[in-house]
Amino acid sequence: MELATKQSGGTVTVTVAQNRIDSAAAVTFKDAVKAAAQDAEDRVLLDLGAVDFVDSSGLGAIIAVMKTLPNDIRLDLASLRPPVEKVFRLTRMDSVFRIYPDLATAQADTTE
Amino acid sequence: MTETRGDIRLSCQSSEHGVRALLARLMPMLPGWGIPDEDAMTIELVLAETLNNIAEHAFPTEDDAFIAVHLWVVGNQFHVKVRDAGLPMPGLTLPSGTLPNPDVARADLPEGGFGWFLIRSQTDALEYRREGAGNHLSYSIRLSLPAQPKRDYCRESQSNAPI
Repeated sequence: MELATKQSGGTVTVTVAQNRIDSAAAVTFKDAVKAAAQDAEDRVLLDLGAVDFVDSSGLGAIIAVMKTLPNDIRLDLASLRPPVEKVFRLTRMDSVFRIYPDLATAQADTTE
Repeated sequence: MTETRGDIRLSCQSSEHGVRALLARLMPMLPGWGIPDEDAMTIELVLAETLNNIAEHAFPTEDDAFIAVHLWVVGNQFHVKVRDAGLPMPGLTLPSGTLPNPDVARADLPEGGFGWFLIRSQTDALEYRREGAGNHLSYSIRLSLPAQPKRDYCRESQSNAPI
């Protein structure tokens, strides 16, 4: 799983550099993001701008990552492409995450 | 009589990578069948869910069995038939596909159970039957527009070409 990780303040931004989080990729995705998020102090920002397909296994993996974080560390999502946004909307998981249209908007939002 | 288009049969191995390979083969064909992007993404999602479900549950220990798919379009319906010779659906019926509740504490959030909800919410005429040693699953996906073969009603000509 190709990821790029950047730390700024208490936020770790994890950019997914591959285009599918599907059944075949879900487990390695989960483990890689968990490892990349270790140094976050208050927020993990997952940049999904390169991802054009997420299925129920991929969605489950993103939720699983959030569940492994301490309760005071958020997992926020940015740059969802239409097929990915659709899966979050249909399953109502868009109500569980803060979802930002792009990274800049996500980084500018400093509300707790 | 409405014309049938894009009639194709594909098969893949009963593994996640087999399913991924089948979708990689199919998806580039859909624009040529006149299927809009919005509908193509629904088709990809529903096929991924149904085929991965078969790979995982009908063939829990076999990655080199085959799953056969027949796809065609009539009017505004994209039709799908899937056959495999794996284990039967438990109880010989499809799961109900109830959406897991998202309004719970973080630790209680569901990590699965979305697949059949997604399939049921995006398909019509969903049917399963066990026949002999085989599973037969069929459904259709309503297209937002009747699929039209692409025609060049208007095309660009070179600006210096004589009229």
